[in-house]
Amino acid sequence: MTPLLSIRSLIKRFGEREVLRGVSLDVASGEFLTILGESGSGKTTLLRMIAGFEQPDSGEIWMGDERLEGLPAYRRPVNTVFQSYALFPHLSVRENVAYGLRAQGAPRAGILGRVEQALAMVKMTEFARQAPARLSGGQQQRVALARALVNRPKLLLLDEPLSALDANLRRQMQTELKSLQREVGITFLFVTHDQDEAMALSDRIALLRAGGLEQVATPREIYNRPETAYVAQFIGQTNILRAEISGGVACAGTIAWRWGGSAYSNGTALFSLRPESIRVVPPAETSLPSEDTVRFRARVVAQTFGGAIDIMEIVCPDGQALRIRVPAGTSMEGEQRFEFDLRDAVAVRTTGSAAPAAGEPPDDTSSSGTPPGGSTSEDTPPASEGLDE
Amino acid sequence: MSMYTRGYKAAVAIPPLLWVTVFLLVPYSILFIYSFWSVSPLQVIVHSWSFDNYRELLHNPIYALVLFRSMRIAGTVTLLALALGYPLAYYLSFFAAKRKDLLYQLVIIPLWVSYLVRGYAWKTILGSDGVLNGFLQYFHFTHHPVGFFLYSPFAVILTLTHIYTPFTFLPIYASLEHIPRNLVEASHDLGASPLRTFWRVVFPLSIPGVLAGATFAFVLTLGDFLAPLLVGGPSGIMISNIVVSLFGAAYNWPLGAAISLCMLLLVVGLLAGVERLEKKLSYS
Repeated sequence: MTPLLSIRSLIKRFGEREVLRGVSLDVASGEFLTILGESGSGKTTLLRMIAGFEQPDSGEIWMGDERLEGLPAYRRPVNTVFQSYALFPHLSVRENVAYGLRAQGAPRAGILGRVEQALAMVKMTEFARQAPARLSGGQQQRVALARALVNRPKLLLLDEPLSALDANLRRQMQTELKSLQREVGITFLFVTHDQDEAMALSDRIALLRAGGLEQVATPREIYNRPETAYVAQFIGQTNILRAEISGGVACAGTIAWRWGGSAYSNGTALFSLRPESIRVVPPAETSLPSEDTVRFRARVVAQTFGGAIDIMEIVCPDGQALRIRVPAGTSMEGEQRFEFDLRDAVAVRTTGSAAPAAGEPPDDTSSSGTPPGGSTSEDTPPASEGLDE
Repeated sequence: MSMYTRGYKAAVAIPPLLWVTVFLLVPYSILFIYSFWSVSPLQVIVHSWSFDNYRELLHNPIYALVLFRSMRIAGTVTLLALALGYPLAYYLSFFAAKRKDLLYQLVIIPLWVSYLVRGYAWKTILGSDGVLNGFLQYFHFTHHPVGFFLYSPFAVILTLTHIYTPFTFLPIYASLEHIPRNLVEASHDLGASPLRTFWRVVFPLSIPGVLAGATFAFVLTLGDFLAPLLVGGPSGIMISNIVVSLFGAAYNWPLGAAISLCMLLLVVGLLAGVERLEKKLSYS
């Protein structure tokens, strides 16, 4: 099936700065795709180029067999929900929602019905005659959604639409947004910097980093099988282990495990190991672990209360620090035994020089042997951001 | 603001109150009193109370004639100043980009030049041996100097438009600058062409600026007496010229005071109307 939207090698510069460095992305019809990235990663610029508010320096944007780059914003079959809602202050809620249909010259008789329907969909019928300034942030958000959806665009662009809402309302709107998208069946292209939001809403996540796509995958895949150290660290928390590989064994300091991955036969590689993958071995436990279980010793140095799950910091004898998750109330001190399933250690690429994890020496794996993953990272500049959270 | 003492608040309030009393309330009261007095045949102001001055204003058609002419000139100037000021402000605010600051300064600079200098400049341009006639004769559009450029309502309108266009430009520009640009993007996003976006979004949101600019131009023009004096001639006389002559050569202060008060009421009424309109049309 041909994708609804196809972005090919999109490049955008602002002066000297290249904010998008050859982004290619396909969006399938009916999909909820999230472009995730920290501020300055170019995600909003990408969205604005699809909407038509910015022109790319090179590359192509296709929608079906229509090429979009040359078209002005008002001729593109997409609609946008703006970060700050951008409701027209001089028009009532109803007039705001009717604006697009009127502009496109929809038959007068049909407009009213469609507007009422759109307002009902976002539960704003009773506010139809109000001025936007009298509405709360959440209500304005609903009107902005109705104003875009009433035009039945093939593609709806959402630019951090929930970022101005407080935490509770935000979760509620996330749920509504997701069910709304299922209901109308319109393709959503959603931009956010909030990885939890991305995980909760999306069919697929495209992780953008400094103007380049790092990984495009389903939330589950991107969490469980991150391709790069950056992805592993950006999506959730993780431990990055630097391991020497030789003879089918990966060895990260005092932790060693069997490694059969073909990409890294010999040399140094990075592995992502999620905190929840590491378990505490009860002191009384004497049976031998299964052959897929990796055991190691480490000293407990700190424990942070986190509600249902606590974060515990442990340090291996060689000084390697790791974070693990333990049920709240777990209380331990001194040296303990820990274990993880070796399949949970996921080999990741560095893509240039991703900022190292805590306790990792900041250097480049590709200098000491096999280029990881068969793809070196000429297209990623050094990142200086803190990537730990 | 309860943290300020009453003494402090009083100290802040006294200078403006004093100013308003000494320079506005007292003079207007004096005018008000004068307007009921009269002038004896011996050119002495008689302190006898009557409505004669107001009756004279109603019955002698010359005053209504000049007032209507003044309002017509003020209205024309206002429309012309808006027609010039609005596109300028729109261009500067939305499209000038890097040239914005420079162009803004260029619009403002004439305000630093004395009114009289600008008035005389038009006299030099429009006169029989002026720049305009010289130009026309040089290119053989005409063989004799054209006389009607100067000393006519046309000259007054031209001069006043030149002088008061920046006064319409400034508030319009300010209101355009206040329009969030994402509203324009939202309009385009919803399929509205640039022209439709202008009429449905930009213009409605700039109306408060247009009203403020129009008020400036109209009120200032209506009360202007220098431009008619410099370039107006007999056919370009405006109501303020009559007031000036009544307080001067004609020595009829009571009648001058009556006209002044009528004008004041007219302008205050206009301002009140515009303010109500402006409140109705602003959405913040």
